[in-house]
Amino acid sequence: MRKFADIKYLPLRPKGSTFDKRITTMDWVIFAFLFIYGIIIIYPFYNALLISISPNEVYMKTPFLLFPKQFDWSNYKQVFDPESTLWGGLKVTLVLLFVGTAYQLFFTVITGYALSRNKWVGKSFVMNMILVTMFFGGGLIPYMNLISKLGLYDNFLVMIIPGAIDTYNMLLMRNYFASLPHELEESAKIDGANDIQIFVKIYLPMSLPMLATIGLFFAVGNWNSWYNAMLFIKNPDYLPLQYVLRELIVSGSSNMERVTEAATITEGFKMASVFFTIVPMMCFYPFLQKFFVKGLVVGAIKG
Amino acid sequence: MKRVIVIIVVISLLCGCIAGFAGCKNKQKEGVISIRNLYFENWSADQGDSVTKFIEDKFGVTFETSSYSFNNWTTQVTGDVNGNQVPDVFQADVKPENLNNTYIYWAEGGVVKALPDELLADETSSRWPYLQSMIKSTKDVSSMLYKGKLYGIPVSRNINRAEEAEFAPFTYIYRRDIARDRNLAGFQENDVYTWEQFETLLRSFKAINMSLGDAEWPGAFPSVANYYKTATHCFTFDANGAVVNNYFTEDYMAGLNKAKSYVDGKLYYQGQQQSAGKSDAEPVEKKYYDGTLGVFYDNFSLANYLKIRKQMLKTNGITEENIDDATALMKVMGPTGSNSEGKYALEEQEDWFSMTFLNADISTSKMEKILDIMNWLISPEGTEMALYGIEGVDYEKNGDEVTLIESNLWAKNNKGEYIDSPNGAKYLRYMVTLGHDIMGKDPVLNASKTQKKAYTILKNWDSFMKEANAAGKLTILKEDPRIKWMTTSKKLEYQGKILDDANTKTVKYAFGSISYSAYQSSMTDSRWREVLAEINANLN
Repeated sequence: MRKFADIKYLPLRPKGSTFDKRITTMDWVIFAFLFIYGIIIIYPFYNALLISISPNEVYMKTPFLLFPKQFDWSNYKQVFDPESTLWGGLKVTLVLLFVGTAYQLFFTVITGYALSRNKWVGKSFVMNMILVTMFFGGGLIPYMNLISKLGLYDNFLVMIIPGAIDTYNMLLMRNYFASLPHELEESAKIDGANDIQIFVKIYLPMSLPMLATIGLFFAVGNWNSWYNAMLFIKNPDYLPLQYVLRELIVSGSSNMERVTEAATITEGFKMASVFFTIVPMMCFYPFLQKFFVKGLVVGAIKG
Repeated sequence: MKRVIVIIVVISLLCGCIAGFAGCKNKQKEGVISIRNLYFENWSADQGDSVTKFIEDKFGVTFETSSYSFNNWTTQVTGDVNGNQVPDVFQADVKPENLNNTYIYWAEGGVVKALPDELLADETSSRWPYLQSMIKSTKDVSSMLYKGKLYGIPVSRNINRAEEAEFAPFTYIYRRDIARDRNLAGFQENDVYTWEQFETLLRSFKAINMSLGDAEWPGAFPSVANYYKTATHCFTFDANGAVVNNYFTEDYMAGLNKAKSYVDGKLYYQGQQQSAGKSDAEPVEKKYYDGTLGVFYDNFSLANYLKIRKQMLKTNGITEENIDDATALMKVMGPTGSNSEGKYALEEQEDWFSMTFLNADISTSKMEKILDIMNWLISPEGTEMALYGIEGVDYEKNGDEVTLIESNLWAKNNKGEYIDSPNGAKYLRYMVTLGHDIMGKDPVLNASKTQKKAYTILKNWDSFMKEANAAGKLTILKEDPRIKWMTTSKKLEYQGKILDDANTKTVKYAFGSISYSAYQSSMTDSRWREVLAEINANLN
């Protein structure tokens, strides 16, 4: 075994080279490419931020800004006005975020657990039936029919119930549970634990990182959801934040043949609204990002 | 024990599903009228405004209202229909190009209810005289009959037909302030332009890096072709009386080539190609706000004109003092030798926009109640209520003079302007009319200087064009109603597609993205040939 003292003699870099020489032309090309790529991703956010804090005439003259020329907080005042429709949307989205995420997590996890266990009749049939939904959908019209027949039309629950099980996430969960040693289950049974106790007291605590990952997927999905509301919700009190935002963003291009205030919304207000909706997620994302990575890796290597 | 729990859960789920399927039908309650309308927006009957309550009490009903979003209107209507969640009354956009998958499909499929024949009868109905008069005075309403029945109420722009213009306000606005201050060649103080003066002004704008732009809705570009073409939309007649492709006549091609020459000469806004017809593209109108455009073509309904003015007021130092000059409406006469031959040229305007349908599942008595309400809403009493509220509570009347009373309906803001408080009659009226008949009398509009000014400008332009029309100086471009609403199979199948295709190809041709031969082959492809053959066979 090599001693610690020998390590200093290890060739950390080729003899005679300097740090600068190690950076090749290709490195510079890659660096430049990534830098430009990063700018392409970040700049729209940055520009949107500048537009939201600039007077409308500044935006009109220079739609692409590098630095703020003047500050104008009126857009944010408008956004945070207690009468703003965004607050109503935020309330709905928060309910979706907490209730919807818990509901989806519950069903996805118990289904994943059940499908990870051996020896039950019809397991592969159920598995295949669920898998089919990943590749084939009934289409929009049958979906509308189904929602209607389930009595979910114009019902707040339409934004929660249909998303009970996400097949992809359920497979991640199933694979994760399957990767845990079966001896745990056997020894718990010997100790007198029943199936529910084994699930709750043994497997769930061991799956917390995975639960966090999947929970985050669901949370982001619920935060961004608007499509079901657009199709099925008539009651304006049930419209989620992203739908309200969408209406604000596209309202400027409407041609209603009638006088509406919505048609005179400025770009600054739109961009301030965009920030109102993305900042909460942006704040949490860096702390939870590691779970996303973990989720992808776990799903990729276990089978 | 576990098995018992599993069995109970499974049975509960099955019961839930069966109960859900059994209760799938949209339940009809006689005393409750559910209405979904594009224009209700933030108004809702359950807000409980006094006028809504008055109408509910008068007719012994309760309204359940909801609104479509303009941006998702078609999707939401389709969702309601396919999900079997059609309210008792709903509004849909019916146009020749979607006639097959809306009006006809719903009538055939039993989605919407046929209206009573008496609404179309020659003698005046004793039950719904105002509604009958409105429907009967709608242009070409007979074209909308399906198997002899009318299935929807055409929503009138203006129930006072005498006030209504035959032409749409699709026209040009321009930066008169810049043209005058910079003494641009071609500028006319009175906004009346011959074609030569118009062209000269465009060149002058070009010299100061400003151009002409057309709004991004399909068919707006190329606006200059309006002076050359002989009809709107897809079809027109040739010299022999045969129906031909309107996008490929000699007249149209002259207009399109004129537009192409403007594009080549950089008189047209060069970003037009990216925007034309693309709903997700940057609106061309923004280029008017930021000073890129000197002249802009759009549909200047009051809503759109106000929007432009309000946006301009937030831009480039435009103030209330010079907003009229910064958004002046042009009156442009066509070139000699073109179809318009030195006259003004405007597109015909339908006297209705969209239709209100009744759910086929409602009872006859409920349908009659709904028609009673609609009829009353456009009666003098209903109209007055839509304008002023309840007599004695919200206003007093002395002869023709109306005095508003400070009430819940007529509360004022700190500027002394009336707040647009919910008035159920005003909103429910949108089931039948867009309310252009009462727009000019609306106290809210009149209390707002900005709105009143814009309304007056448009009214003046409208009067000018009406006079021009009376003097034979206006060409109104129309589509023959026999062709427009013809319900032959190929036309129903292809019309939307060929119209979209034609609008796209005209832009591409003008901007040089496709050659003349590519344009020609597109305008003479098998779809056009089949549709034209079918129309001609039917007309003969």
